Amino acid sequence: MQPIHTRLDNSAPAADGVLLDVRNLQTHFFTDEGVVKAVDGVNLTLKRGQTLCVVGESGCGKSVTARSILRIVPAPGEIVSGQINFRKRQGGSIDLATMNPKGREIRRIRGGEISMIFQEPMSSLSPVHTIGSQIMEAIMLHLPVTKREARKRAAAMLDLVGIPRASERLDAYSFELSGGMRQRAMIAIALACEPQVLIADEPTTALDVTTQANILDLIRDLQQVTGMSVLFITHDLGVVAEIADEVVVMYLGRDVESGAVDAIFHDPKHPYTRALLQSIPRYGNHDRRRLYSIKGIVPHPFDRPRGCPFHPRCDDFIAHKCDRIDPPRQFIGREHSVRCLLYAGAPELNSDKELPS
Amino acid sequence: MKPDSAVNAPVDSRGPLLEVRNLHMRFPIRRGMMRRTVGYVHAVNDVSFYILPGETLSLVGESGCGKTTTGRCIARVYSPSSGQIIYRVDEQETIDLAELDNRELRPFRRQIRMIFQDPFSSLNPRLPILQIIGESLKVNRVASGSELEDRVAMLLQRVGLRPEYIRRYPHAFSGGERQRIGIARALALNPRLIVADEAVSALDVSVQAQILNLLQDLQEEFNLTYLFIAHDLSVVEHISHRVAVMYVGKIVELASTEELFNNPLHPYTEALLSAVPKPDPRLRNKGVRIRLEGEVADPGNPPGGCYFHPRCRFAQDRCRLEEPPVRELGQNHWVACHFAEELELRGFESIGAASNDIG
Amino acid sequence: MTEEPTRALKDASADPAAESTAETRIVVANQWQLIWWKFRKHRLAMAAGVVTIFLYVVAAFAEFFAPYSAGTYSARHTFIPPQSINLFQQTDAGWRLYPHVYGFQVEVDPDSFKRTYVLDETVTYPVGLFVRGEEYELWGLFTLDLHLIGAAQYGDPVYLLGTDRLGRDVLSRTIYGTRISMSVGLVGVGLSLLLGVILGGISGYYGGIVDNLIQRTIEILRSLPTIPLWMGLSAAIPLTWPPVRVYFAITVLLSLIGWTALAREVRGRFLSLKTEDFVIAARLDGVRELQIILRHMAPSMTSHIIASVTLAIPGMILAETALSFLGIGLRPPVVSWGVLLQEAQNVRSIATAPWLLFPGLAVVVAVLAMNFLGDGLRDAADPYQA
Repeated sequence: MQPIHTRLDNSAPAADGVLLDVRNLQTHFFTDEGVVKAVDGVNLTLKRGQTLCVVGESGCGKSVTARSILRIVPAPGEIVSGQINFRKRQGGSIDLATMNPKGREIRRIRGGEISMIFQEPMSSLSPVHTIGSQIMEAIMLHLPVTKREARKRAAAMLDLVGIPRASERLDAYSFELSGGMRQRAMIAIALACEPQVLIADEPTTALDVTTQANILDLIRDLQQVTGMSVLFITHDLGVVAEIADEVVVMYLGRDVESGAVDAIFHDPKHPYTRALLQSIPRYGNHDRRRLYSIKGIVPHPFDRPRGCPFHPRCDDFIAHKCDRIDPPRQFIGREHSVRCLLYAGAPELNSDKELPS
Repeated sequence: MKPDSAVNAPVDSRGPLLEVRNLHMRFPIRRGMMRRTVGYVHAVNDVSFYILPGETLSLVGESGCGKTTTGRCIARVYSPSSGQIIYRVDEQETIDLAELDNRELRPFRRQIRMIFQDPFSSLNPRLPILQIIGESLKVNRVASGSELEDRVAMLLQRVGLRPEYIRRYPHAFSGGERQRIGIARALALNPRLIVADEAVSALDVSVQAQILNLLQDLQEEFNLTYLFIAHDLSVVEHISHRVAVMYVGKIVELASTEELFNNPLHPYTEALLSAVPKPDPRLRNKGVRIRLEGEVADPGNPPGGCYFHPRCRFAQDRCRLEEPPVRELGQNHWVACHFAEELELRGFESIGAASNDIG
Repeated sequence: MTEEPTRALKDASADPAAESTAETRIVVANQWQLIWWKFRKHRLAMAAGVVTIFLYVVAAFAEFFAPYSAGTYSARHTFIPPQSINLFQQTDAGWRLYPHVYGFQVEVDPDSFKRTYVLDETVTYPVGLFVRGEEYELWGLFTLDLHLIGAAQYGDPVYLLGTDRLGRDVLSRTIYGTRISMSVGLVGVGLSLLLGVILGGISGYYGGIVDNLIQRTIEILRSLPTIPLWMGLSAAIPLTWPPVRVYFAITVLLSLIGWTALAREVRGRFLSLKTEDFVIAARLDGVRELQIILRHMAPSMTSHIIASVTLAIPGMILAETALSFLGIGLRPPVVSWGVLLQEAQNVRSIATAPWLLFPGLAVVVAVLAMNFLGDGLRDAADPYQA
């Protein structure tokens, strides 16, 4: 089989291992009715070979964050401020946020260095082209190979993602495959050019639980083989616990808390993170006791609360403070940050807004 | 009686509220100009179970396993192809809902209600909340005019919405609020049995918790019986008294929640339990992961013998040839597997899902 | 945590009065308000809507808008080219506002006997708005002599868009043509709608053999080439019929084909609505079938049907024009755009009197406006989709 992870070996390792560093990203949608601040200050750091999960409920801006990185935010959305620093394979860092979204440079990065898979594999795959030709197209777009080599490589990719009888399936159409197989084919296309980063936007949400388990295993295994980094967007905390190294919790376009997966699950700081964890049904509650539930609902995007966006639903609400002060992002551990006024001014806390290096 | 009649043995002295016997639902596959029937999708294939008054029975399984069709047969959205749906009208009388026509069903439609999965498509976007919830009250001549408004307002309040919302249209509400409206509609006629078809699947975690709590409160308050259809095992584990696992139109295992999760007897149940993501990173890579290979069988063309055999890690020759009957093994634990006694299967606990509570 | 901050719980239920009025307007908005709000954003469709309304107003008050009646002729003024309006006149005291057209003199070519008109700037005819002219009966109710535009002095030869071979005013005739052509579309679509809703509804509701039968009929009807079919059918209309009866016969003919598209639309909607959760929910509520159709299914379809109807009208207008142009539709003395265009049929008149094609421009404007309008309506028809 063609070695398919050759190019990673000669890539220059970054000093701090940070591949993608998003700082204070703001992506707003300018609709007729008003401005929707879908992403309103998000920071995330993706390190080489790691999995970063962005978790939040619908409407929190997690998908728009992912799309902002690849500059595929649909109109009328626009990045209004922030940086998306990406370390290229050949070395050197670029800010994706300032690029022309239709330019040649960003197109070279899409698919070549950063790939994306989506929730609905059926609508992301072309129904009129075979799986094989779609993979080959991706390969030939980014790598200097002949058609024959591309086909060989495509078969290797299908084999790699666990599609049985790979060379036969090259000539299959997407509708001939089951949901799980389609998602595998999607992953094969995304990984065909050995991207440094795979962005997975709810890739298992439409799948059954047994198929989901297989796909999660696959992503984890592929990460072992290729050393790629994964930015995983999901609403399912169970999936986060299974796959994440680092977690960013989002609420109303903000990164309310971020840190290592163990810290997020076992030492959550932000009231929203805690509430989320408490609202999932857990095994062993045979007395069928009530679940903890966050009161109220997510506010309408035109109707963002002042101060901390979570304050109307927060159990730890401090009157005259949370509804007035927009909590800054502050570090309470080396890599554990939170946006909450509960932790402001505590002596041992480092309220430095910059990343500790 | 059929060999699987054991499933129907009532354990409660009052008798079950609903008893499903050998339920079948076949949908014709039509092709060509003249729409000739070329075959059948056997969506529900000889399903039998009972539901006791006041309990929650869950039907779980993956997409296409027939759980929704079973629920819809019981709510009589569909007329079952064959089988009985015995409903207890009162202490003395039972009636087979499967035999009734639309007119005869009317009084029972008030007692057996349904909550739908999709909070968007299940409410008519063109009607205000008053009419959506009030419709059943109106057509059944329970209330009208200002009395109707009062009752709808009370129902809204009961499900946690403001009574002033009565004149609003569905588009003014979020998914969770819409699901509350759907619940209010189901509650309007003081039902006894509610078929909740994936009622929380489309909701966000925090909203899902709100709706699950509401369903539990309502069950206590009105002594409701739920047939809860879901694919999320954590939700099922939380809310149900008993659980039935379905695979390709058949029930493969049925037991009390604790028994099923701790001591599964069917390999498919074990695989399902193993696939549930555990919300604790410390349990990662602990215990054994069981992964199913291959695809769910096509209900239009199922394999011979046990439908699960092509994906079963214990499959033997007998499984390919002989269809396993539903047998009772242990107290109220039914399973359809030839080798249920011999297999050593792992429950949820040993796969690694000890509960850990936050702060 | 070393410091326990002071905590307070905020009242969970926010003050309902605090909600903005704009929001409360939306939450109680019914389907038609939402459709209107969505439609309003579609600028082109809004403009097209204004044009369409204008055309129907013109059709309704044709007598008032037209300077002359449809039949008024002047043997002395045949094939007069369009006269342009001059707003000002130079006098000794300077320019003054005096809307007028120039007179003309006839020159006859001695060889070909061809008549040509030469502008005569010494003669001016004043033009005015709301002038008194020929008497007419508006809708058979009022006798009036007021015209929107025309010669300020009754009897002056003012032909803003020229005249035809009998010396009839092209502008007036085009305006009268609006009445027939725009209403043929409306009446024809009305009939199609009736047939389409009934047959499509039956097809979608009952399904099975009935559905099969109706669908196959539609396919056969749609496979027939329309122009020969219409030609055959309209050849069967007796020449002795009065114009009004011919007019209705033609609309019936047009709708015989036109209903098929609408029937398909209705059937498709019916089929998809039948399995909608909210329709199932209504059935489980114990709502009777007729009520389900009237209360739940019909309102979900009407907006779509209105959009398709709007899109079907231009087809009807074009079909009438085509039939009349071929001489097998409406016939003089009825005035429709098609009839007018038929008179402009021969090459000689196009070369020497191109202004006779003006009704063609009216057809283009009307068809475009209705298409844009229908497009906007179709986009707005389902305001609940994101």
